Amino acid sequence: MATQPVTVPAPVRRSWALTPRSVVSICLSTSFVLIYVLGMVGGIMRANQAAVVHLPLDTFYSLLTLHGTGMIALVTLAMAAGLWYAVHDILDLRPRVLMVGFALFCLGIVLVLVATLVGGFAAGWTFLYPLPFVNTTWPAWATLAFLLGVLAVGLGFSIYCMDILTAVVGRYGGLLRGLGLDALIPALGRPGQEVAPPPVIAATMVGIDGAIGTLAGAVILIALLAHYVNPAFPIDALWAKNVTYFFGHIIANLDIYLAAGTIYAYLPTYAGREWKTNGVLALSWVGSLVFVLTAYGHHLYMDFVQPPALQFLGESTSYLASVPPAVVTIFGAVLLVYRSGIRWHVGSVLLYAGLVGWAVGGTAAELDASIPFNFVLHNTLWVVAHFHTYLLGGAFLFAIAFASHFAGEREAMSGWARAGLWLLLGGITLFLASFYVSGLEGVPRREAIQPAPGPVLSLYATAAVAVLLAGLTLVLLDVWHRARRSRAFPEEAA
Amino acid sequence: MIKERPSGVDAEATVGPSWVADAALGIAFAAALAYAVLSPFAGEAPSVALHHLAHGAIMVVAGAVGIRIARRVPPTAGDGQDAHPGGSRPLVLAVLAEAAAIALMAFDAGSWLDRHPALHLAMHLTLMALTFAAAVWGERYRRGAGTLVTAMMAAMAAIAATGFGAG
Amino acid sequence: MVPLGARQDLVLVLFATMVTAIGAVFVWVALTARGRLEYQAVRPHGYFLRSWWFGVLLALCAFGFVVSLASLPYPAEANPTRAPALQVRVKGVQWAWLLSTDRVPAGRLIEFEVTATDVNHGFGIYSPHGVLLGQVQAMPGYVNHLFFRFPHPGVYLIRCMEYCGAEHPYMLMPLTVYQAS
Ligand code: HEM
Ligand SMILES: [Cu+2]
Ligand SMILES: [Cu+2]
Repeated sequence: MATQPVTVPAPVRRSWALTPRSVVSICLSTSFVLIYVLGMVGGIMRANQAAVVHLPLDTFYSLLTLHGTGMIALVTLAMAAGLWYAVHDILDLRPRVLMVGFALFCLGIVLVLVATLVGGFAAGWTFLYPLPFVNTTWPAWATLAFLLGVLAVGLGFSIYCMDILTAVVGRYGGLLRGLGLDALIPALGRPGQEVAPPPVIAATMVGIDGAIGTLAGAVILIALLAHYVNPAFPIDALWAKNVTYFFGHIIANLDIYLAAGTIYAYLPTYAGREWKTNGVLALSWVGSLVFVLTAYGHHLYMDFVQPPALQFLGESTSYLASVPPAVVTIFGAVLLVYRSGIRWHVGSVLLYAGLVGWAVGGTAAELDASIPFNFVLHNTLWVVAHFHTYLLGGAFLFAIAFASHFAGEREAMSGWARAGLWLLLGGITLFLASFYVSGLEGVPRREAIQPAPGPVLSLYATAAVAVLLAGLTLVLLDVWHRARRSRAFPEEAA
Repeated sequence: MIKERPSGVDAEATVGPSWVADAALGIAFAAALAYAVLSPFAGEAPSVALHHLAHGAIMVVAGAVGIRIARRVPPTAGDGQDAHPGGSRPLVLAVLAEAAAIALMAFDAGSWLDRHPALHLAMHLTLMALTFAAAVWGERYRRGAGTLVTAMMAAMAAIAATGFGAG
Repeated sequence: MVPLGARQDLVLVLFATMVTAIGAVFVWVALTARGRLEYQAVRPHGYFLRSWWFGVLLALCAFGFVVSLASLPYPAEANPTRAPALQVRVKGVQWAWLLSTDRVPAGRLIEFEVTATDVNHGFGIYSPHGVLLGQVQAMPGYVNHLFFRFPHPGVYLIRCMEYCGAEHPYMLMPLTVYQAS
């Protein structure tokens, strides 16, 4: 399995060369800097909900839109770079394509920044039709900039996915083998060819679902753009909601599946054990591939006009979606760590903590995916709680874990890093707890001004964000410091 | 790093009487072209869903032709990684062509197409040309990529058939 | 703090139980991780445990699915006998609720016919204590039918549950539920 960097930086210090390491570094650093800023934006929103600061309503909602859209794009960027690095060797991926994807992400994020901060676009990251068009507090061009921004990000991810898929076809002669199905059905295998390792299986699944998801995203975005140009272009609100959430659910969900690929690649290096493909693992990924596509229906439970078949498909496959990660990836990771004498460092601590976030966030998601519970949880802060648990307390932690591993972890964990981890994980826990309790108390999401007991809980959360960001600062500085060292002494790295 | 290129796909492509496949593809292409040219003048417009699916069908045929041709033409210097390591242009072009095809569908709604059958015809031909180009570019990037891009076009038409342009 | 509703209570109990279990496993594995065993020695036990875990989880999924079917909020399930209900037309607009009446009786089945004219809204019903009792989407071009029985008289609150523009937090309306004779 390719867990070692293959490219040694050029001996002469050139200004910048397009190598796997350099492209991945630039993806990670860009994403972390912006995530940090958007985390502060999140803190400001919490402070506003606590009535500590008082933003105008439209400003609050522009920030909310920026935070949601930006965070999803940036965590996807970081994790996509991580998984790319884990498989680029096996699949013979070229840094230039990742660079093109990165450039499109940047273009998209700049457009979203301009649309929200300059233009004041504020229809939420889901830009649910017809909100971007009706009685807006922002000029029409801001809507255009936002839609084009999301389109650019989608295009970038689409190129990333297509590159992986075509590489899988080239290397393994088919997507089924890319999913490792020859481990389950030996007849599928080719003589003399090894079964795809777990990170490749994850990459293949992400490639397929990502390609389909971005396609759906393009379809709804083009429909909205057509409507923008020609208001007579008809859009059905229920259709738009279905396609939008099909797209949004897939993209947000794939962050964690991208991350799973890096867990397969890097957790074994800490535990000193191998993680090999077998039939069960391959089957579990086929399951995930299907369930990620069909589970989006849980976003429309409260649309009673939605065809019942889609509601039941949504509920049953939302439940089933928990099985592959819980039984194979998370269970497998815990088994890998069990009495392994694992080496604890920033990377392994965060991988391990991220698994907890994934499991807990998944549990909260399953409760919300139960229609009778959704009746009282839908669009409350419970929803925000569950996805922050597995995005902030899961995918994002996996991204830092990867970065730390990537930066090199030769020397022992520093005291600063240790303190940073405590603060980060403690802060996240408190921050999430506030969302969960608020949700149970019926506080709706996306409220600039919340009903009781929202403001009190928001106050705790604001304090928790400060702790979280302090910890994040320490951890990121530690990673950055190590990255600089290993660039100075490349032979020591990794 | 040079990798042994798995030869499975080549073998499949050359095994068996390839003229049979060529002839079948030729007939399909003629049929697709006939639909593309004639249907805009056929009066009664099909439902939105059927219309998108028909677009998907003619695009798949155009893509298949593109793949078939691309596999016969030896790669040139401007091609993807086989000929020119690190080149990403064909892949980017293929994905852009795909996006352009989706964008074109924006015109695919309401009575607009019925009023301008000539433009409708032009749109059909452009959709086919874009898929053809995307398939060729894809195939030039990496063997097998043309198939994936064509499949994406079909998937796009299928997603659109759920209600794009209906309201 | 607002008292928790019955469903929220159940969610809390289930969630707390599962999180405790997850936490216990992770903490235990982390604490014992030092003592090194060969993976070959661990794996067979792990896989045995995994097949049990798989069975339990599948059973939980099936159980959850079946149980949930018993209390769906959808019209066919919420009004299985098709008993006549008092109809209330509801329209969400930026940023107000238009109801055909703002007084309904307690204990009787009410049918809310919910729609919207401009953008999507969410029709959420809060008890006089502030507990969220249920909701349905208000979507332009569609009418969602919500069958609902108010348990007690009092002043309930209709609150918008779907972000609908700047004034969304203020899209509220009191609903008086009176003692039916
Ligand atoms: C430092 C950490 C973070 C803080 C303080 C934070 C805070 C917040 C707050 C206060 C909201 C608004 C909740 C509401 O609806 O009232 C929110 C929404 C959201 N956050 Fe975060 N968040 C953080 C990290 C993340 C991460 C890592 C992601 C992931 C990818 C993320 C994705 C989102 C999304 C998608 C929304 C919904 C936006 C919408 O409703 O349109 N957040 N966050
Ligand atoms: Cu047509
Ligand atoms: Cu609202």
